[in-house]
Order: sequence, then structure tokens, then C-alpha cells
Amino acid sequence: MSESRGSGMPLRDYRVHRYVNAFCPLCHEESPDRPLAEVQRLSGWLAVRDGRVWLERGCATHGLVRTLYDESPEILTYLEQWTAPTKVHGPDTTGNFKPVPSAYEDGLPQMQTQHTCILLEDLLDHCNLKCPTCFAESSPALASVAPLESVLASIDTRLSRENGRIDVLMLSGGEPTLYPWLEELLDAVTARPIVRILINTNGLRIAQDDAFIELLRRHRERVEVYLQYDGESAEASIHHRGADIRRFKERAIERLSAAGVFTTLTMTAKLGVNDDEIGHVIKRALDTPYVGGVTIQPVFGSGRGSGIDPLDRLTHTGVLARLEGQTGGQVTWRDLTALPCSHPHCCSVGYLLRDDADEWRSLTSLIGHDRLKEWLDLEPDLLANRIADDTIPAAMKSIVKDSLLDLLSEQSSLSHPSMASIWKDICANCDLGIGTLATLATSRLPGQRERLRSLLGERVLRVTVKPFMDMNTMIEERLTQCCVHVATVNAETDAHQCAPFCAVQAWAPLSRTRISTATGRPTTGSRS
Amino acid sequence: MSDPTLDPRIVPLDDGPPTATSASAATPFDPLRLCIFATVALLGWLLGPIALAFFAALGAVGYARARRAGLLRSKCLLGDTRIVLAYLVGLVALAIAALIIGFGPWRIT
Ligand code: SF4
Ligand code: SF4
Ligand SMILES: [Zn+2]
Ligand SMILES: [Zn+2]
Repeated sequence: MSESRGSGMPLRDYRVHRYVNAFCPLCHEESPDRPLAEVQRLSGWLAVRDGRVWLERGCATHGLVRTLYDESPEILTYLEQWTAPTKVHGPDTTGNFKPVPSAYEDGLPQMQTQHTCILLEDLLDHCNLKCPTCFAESSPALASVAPLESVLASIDTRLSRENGRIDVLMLSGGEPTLYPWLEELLDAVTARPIVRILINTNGLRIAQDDAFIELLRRHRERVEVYLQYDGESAEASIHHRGADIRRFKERAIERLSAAGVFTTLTMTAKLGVNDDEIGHVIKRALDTPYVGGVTIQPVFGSGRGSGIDPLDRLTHTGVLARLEGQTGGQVTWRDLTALPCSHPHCCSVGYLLRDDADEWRSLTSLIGHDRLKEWLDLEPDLLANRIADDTIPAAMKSIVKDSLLDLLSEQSSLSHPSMASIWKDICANCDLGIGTLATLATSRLPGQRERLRSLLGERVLRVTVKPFMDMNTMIEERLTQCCVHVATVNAETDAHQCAPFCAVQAWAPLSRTRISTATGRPTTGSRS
Repeated sequence: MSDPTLDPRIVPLDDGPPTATSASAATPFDPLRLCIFATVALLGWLLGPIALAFFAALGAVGYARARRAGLLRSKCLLGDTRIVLAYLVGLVALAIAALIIGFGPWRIT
């Protein structure tokens, strides 16, 4: 009695990279306004297939739903090595163990694993542009402005939950430079224990208003500008901003640079529109004094119509992979590491330093990946070996590690006094060749601070890639470890609280609790 | 909203995770290579040094070509293609020596 034996089960055509909880983009599109308690968390995985990473989740209504998550499994795996211990957070509502996303209706829940690195305050909903891809859905027509006292109350609430210090405060909107009480706000926040204040702007007012540039210059020790800059082509400008506004951008950059205000160019990059201009934006930043940073954000689909193909889009690792070709090898993905505080898929960062020979070199290439990891304490074994052969004294090691963690965190401001010691450590511990920097960093003579500022402005560039999530790429673990929190107001209690940026952008019920929308009054057009 | 059943993000069932039905339909694996190995061993046993000389020479020529084409490292355990070449040439010499004077497994009795 013989029975023919089958061949058994074949292998799947993909490798599971990681199991995740995700959400169904089709259900979301069918009713984007559904109460958060009805949003289903779905089982899923990140699958590596055909050299790409796909997010697949099972929806009871739509079955298996597959979207592109990232373009390079190799780079994604590389990024995942850069994780560090996270910081304690203060939940907004004690005992809030509700699931994601409804938990965020009551602010940061208990099950959050990172504190607030960046607190984002939306000052107002309206804007002097009407960008087709605007995630704030701002337009000249929407006109609600958060009262100054509400914004300050929100900031003070966060300060109380962050043990008396906020690393980064980002003023956003709408267009924050149109906020009628911006001057009063800047005076008030610079008087508080906030390390770094960023203004997220389209630059129109900066390009035109001399008094405004003066205001920024006055606060430039603490205030930096995040300027939208989408590349050199008219096409990019028209696609992302609805008009060719390049000459305003150029004027804004010139004026900020001349005023010595540290500026970061933020580029919204989209496949087929300006994904080939990333190198140009980096070059522009390298060449311009006081442009201390470049942030590249692959366009994401929350907010106004995006026209993104969820199966073929620009992603985090796609941006990283494009760096080498577009910068003539000057910057490669190995020059960046994941930002160690948020989830490694959320942000990558790299520093470029111009040495005394006038060459731009990256921090990772100067220090080496292994030594960097060792200093960050990411590789305990390596560290143990090192301690055995005792090359670096333990005290020095901990100084260097803390400095690096600071440097790789969002809090780091190129102009902040604590940076001097960071540069000192780096310069003293790895033959950077930035001799002048080291000399300046060590000296505490009055007047040297300004020279240090200008030296940093000319010789340091931070490159970051920030891939925000929309419903096609949303996974729960990133929200849980999110460190970019948007100020919101509890719909029932009116308490000030906050929630992960990606969640607030994606889910309409959360978006309505943004401080500008929740506390906003229509503008009267007059300044108080 | 367009008909969601047509959305390209939805993976049709027969394209999704493989199921048992699609599994048994697949042709069983053909272990052809195992037969080839056995045949090569048979030839080696029958032809002795002649087979060794032939295959080693074949390998040497192959690797010499590959190296000229730019292959510096081989997946071969020896790594550097120069070492692989030296090894193969050594094998040819060994085979010729065995044919002429007879030694080792092919001792002329
Ligand atoms: S993206 Fe910025 S500049 Fe454009 S409409 Fe939105 S708020 Fe205004
Ligand atoms: S805002 Fe989004 S992408 Fe950024 S850290 Fe939070 S979850 Fe990650
Ligand atoms: Zn669904
Ligand atoms: Zn952070």
C-alpha cells in the first residue's frame, strides 16, 4: 500500500523582515473621519520581496493589503543598528492604556516609549500660500489663530511634564511668520528653559520684511529657521507650492545667511518631480554660510491630495540611496546613521564637516562606524574589549558618549553653548584636522563665541532625512517611539496635551485637536 | 471613491501567501546535481590521473580567463583567483607526474 508522497510546502517568495501592527489605507480612505475607537489595528509584517520592503497587513474587509514601505532592505537593516536607550516620558493622562490611535485622544499614553524631543506648536491655520501638498491643509481661507496665552499654557504644560526642559520647540502652522503675536511669543519662549526654537516657514515674509529679519537676528542665539526649499527647478516649486516662488526662496536664503541666522533647508521630495534634485539642495547648503542643515522629507500622503502612488514612491532608504550619485560621492548613505532617539525607520542624520584642507568629510567617516557605536554604547561587546585594552579612560569615554548622543539628537543646536564641548571632544579625540575649531572651542574668551558661531556656520552641515508616515506606511511601533509631538487640546477636558506628529496628520479626529484649530479664533486682521 | 476591489494595493488571494493547494501543484525538485557529482566521481575512479589532468587543466584555463576578465576573488575557499590558479596548475602537474612515474593511489604495480 504505497501512497504518493507530496513535495511538502514550498518557500514563500518573501522574507519577513519584522512583524508589525498597521492600519488599512483603504478603510481609512473610505471614511477618514471615523471615530478613532473604530480604527482597527491590523496584524502585518514588513516583507522583503524583489529587493524592496513591502508593508502587508490583513484587513477583514479588504483582505491582504500591500503597499511600498521602503526601497532598500539593506539600508533599512543598517539603520536598525542605531538604537539607543530612550528617555522617560510623562503621560498626559495617567492610566491611559487605550490602544493606538484612540489613546492619543488623551495625549501621550502610558505606552509611549520616548519623551518629547520636539514640541510642535501650530500657531495658526492659515497661510500666504496654498501648497497642493500642504500637510497642515492651510490656505488663505482658513483663518483660525491660537491665542498667545493658549500657546504659552501649552508650552508650560509640556515643560512641567518634561522635568523643566524642552529640547526643541518648533513653531509651525499654517505659516507661523504670519502669527500676529510672534514677537511677544519669541520673547516669552526665549525666557523659558527651551534649548532650541525653530520657525518652520515658507520664507515669503523673510524675503520681503526687513523688520522681521531684524527680529530673527535679535533672537539668533536660540532661534533657527527651517525654510522650505524644494530644489532648483520651477517644476518642483510649482508642484509642491502651487506657483514658481523660487526667487523668494533665494532672497530668503541670502537674507538669513547675511543676518547670521542658522537655517535648515527643508526639502519635500517626490518621485518623478524633484527626487533628482536632492544633491542640488545639499550643494546649496554646503555652499551657503549659516545654512547649517538640510532636511529631506519624502512627500507623504496625509492632508491635502497627494497623488502619491502607494506602490512606487520615494522613501527614507530611497533618499539615502540617491545621495551618493547626486552628490558626486561627497555624501553617501553610510555617512548617515539613524537618529538614535526615535524609531530607526523615522529619521536619519549625518554631519559633514569642512576640514582645514577645505574638504567636506562626514563625522562617521572620521570617527568610523564601530567607534561611533562604541561611543554610543550600542555595542556592549566591543566596548568591553576596549575597556580591557584600556585605550580610552572611562571618564573620557562617558563624556564622548554623552556629547555624541547630544549631537545626534534633535536638541543639538549648532550654536548652543553645549556644542562647544561637543566639538572640543570630537576634535580632541579623532584627528579631525579642524584645528582652528578645536582652538576656538577650548577658549572661553569673550568674543570667541561669535567666531565659533561663524566658523560652525561655515564648516558644519547636518543632513537629515525625515520620512513621515501616512496610512500607507503607518506602523504602530514608530508612533509608540515617536519623539516629535504636536500640541493638542483634549476635546472633552480642554487640557493641554500632545500626540505623535504622524498620527495627528493622518487621523482627522486628532487633527481637529491641534492647538490652532482647537483654540483658534478667526483673525480680525489687526495686531494686538 | 473608486471601486476598492480594483485597488492595486489589494493582493488577490492566489497572489498572496502561498496556500496548500498551490504548493502540491508545484513540480518536485529535481536533484540533477547529485547525479552529476556521482558521475564525475565514477569517471575519476575509472580514468584516474587522466581525469584529474583534464579537469584541472579545464579549471586552470577557466580561471585564467576569468582573472583576465577581472575576477580577483572567487567564491572558491581559496579566495584570491591567483591562489586558485596555482592550486589548479599544481593539480595538473600532479596528474602528469602520476601518469609518468605512477605514485599515490595510482602506484604502478
Ligand atoms: S505647506 Fe506651508 S507654505 Fe505651503 S500652504 Fe502649507 S503651511 Fe503654507
Ligand atoms: S513624527 Fe512620525 S516619522 Fe517622526 S518620529 Fe514620530 S512617528 Fe516617526
Ligand atoms: Zn480595509
Ligand atoms: Zn528625538
